[in-house]
Amino acid sequence: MMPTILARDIGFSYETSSVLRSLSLAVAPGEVAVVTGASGVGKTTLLTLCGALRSLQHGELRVLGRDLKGLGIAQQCEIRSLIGFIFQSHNLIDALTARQNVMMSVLGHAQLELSGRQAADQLVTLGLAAKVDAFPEDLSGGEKQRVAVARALIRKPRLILADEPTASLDDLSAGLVKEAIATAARTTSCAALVVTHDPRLFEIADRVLRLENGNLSEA
Amino acid sequence: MSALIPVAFLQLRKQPRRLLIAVAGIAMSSLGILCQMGFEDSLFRSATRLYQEFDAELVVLSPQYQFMVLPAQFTQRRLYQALAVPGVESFSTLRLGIAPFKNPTTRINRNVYVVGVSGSADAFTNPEWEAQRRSLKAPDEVLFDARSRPEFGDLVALFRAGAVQTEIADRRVSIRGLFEMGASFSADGTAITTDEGFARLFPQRNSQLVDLGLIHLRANADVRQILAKLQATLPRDVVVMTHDQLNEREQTYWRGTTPAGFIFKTILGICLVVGCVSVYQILSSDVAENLAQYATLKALGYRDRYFLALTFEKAWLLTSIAYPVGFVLSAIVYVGATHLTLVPLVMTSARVIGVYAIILTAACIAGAIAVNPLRRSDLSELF
Repeated sequence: MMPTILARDIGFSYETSSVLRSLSLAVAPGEVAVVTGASGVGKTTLLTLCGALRSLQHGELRVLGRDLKGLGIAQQCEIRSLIGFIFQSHNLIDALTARQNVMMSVLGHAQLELSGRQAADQLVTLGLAAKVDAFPEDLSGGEKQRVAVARALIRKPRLILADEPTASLDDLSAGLVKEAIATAARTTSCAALVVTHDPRLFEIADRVLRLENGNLSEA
Repeated sequence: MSALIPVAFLQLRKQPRRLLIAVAGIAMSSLGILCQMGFEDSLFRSATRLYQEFDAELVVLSPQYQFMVLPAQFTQRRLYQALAVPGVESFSTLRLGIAPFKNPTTRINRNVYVVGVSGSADAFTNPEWEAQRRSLKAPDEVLFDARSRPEFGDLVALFRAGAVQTEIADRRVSIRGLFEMGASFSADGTAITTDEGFARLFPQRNSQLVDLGLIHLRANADVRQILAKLQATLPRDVVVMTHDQLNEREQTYWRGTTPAGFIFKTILGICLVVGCVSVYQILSSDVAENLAQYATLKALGYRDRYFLALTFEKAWLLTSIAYPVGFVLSAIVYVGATHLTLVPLVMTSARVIGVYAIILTAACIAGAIAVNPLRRSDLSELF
């Protein structure tokens, strides 16, 4: 079976420094790979490359069976629509309720036929039963982050790319997020690449990788 | 169901103060454009209101003629010469001048536009005007525009009460009847008299010279052919044109020669800029404040065209909320201005729809510019 992420000898440099050097990685469907490492070593760069949010400079990177090198905007959009992104900042739209923010994730995905009820169910799973129709201004930071997680998971992605998804959460909330990611991986064969410093996430990891000197090693 | 989330409406509603400012801006812009167009149309229409009533297929005038208040005379022999062209049936002559009219009540003078009409053929298409004109017998009799400015006196009431006598150019005149035309930007009031009556009011004018000749053609005559024939036959001290061309020439004078056309265009431009800026401000603020949120949606697979459509929807909503407000305000201004100036301002459905389309287009253009930063946003910065 083709890995969800297959990186071979990928390299990436910023103007002044090289962050990824001949990095190779394979993440199988249903696998949760957690990447840790010191700040500034290139963890986020790796995520943005895998999410087709940044152009590859060197090497070969295949995500969901597609070679990301030289993709046009339309193809990038197509790949991104299969990925569940969990960003460090929640970026919820203020004018929409938690439910509507989650539903925005599937706008245009007619095959999913998502209903408001399903969005609410996803929020309930993440412990937000009482906040389904609350606006972001009425949510705490942790609650907003959980809405953002629900937004990523509701579309039943084939790949989850998460950057510090539990950074601002208490143990209870972190546990719910952890469980949601693990469940998605188990039940839908969704692969997950999670970048974090939070050891609580190691519990759901099939592999914990350390990014150091531009390359990955088993932690 | 997600497709039914009214994102544009919800986002606009979320910022009521900003929404109010944008709506006020667009409403003012709509008001300005509607009023400007109303005034401009009124000016140009009133400038040709009298001329539109002329019963003539062709007109003869001097090449020196500028517009109705600054005409130039030519010899009426040219009109007799025109009768020799096959197809020409008759002519009427018009003498035009401005003279002081004494308010019969206050005895204060105010200039009135005087039209001296001669000829046995019909001079006006309006049957009431024509009947009134034919009722003028004595040289001291005039018809007066009942919708002239009130500074001439309440002539309608005076006329109903009995014969009205006053003075034009210090000559005693009797108002024989009233007709309805309305003031224009160039004439506060209009009086019609016979050519003898005109000669009595303007004794210094050469009675052989006229300002306009109205040419009446035989039934089924080929207007273009006769026009060409007259142009070829008559000396160069006159020009011949169709009635429509005269109206157009009169409007062109106001649009092009006077500062009025430029002023109106400038006001139109300013109003449009105000509308554009109002829309741009709210939409660009919206994009700036939601840049990360929109970029997140882009990362989720949304295309730029979604945000463009979202912005257009907001522009449409803003315009649709604000335009009725501007329309109602402008309707009030139209009524008030018509009442005050006695120059009729008419709101046409074409103008109402046209201005809405202009404002909506301008709003969409402003929206398209406002959404530009999102198009350039770096999605990799999201993580």
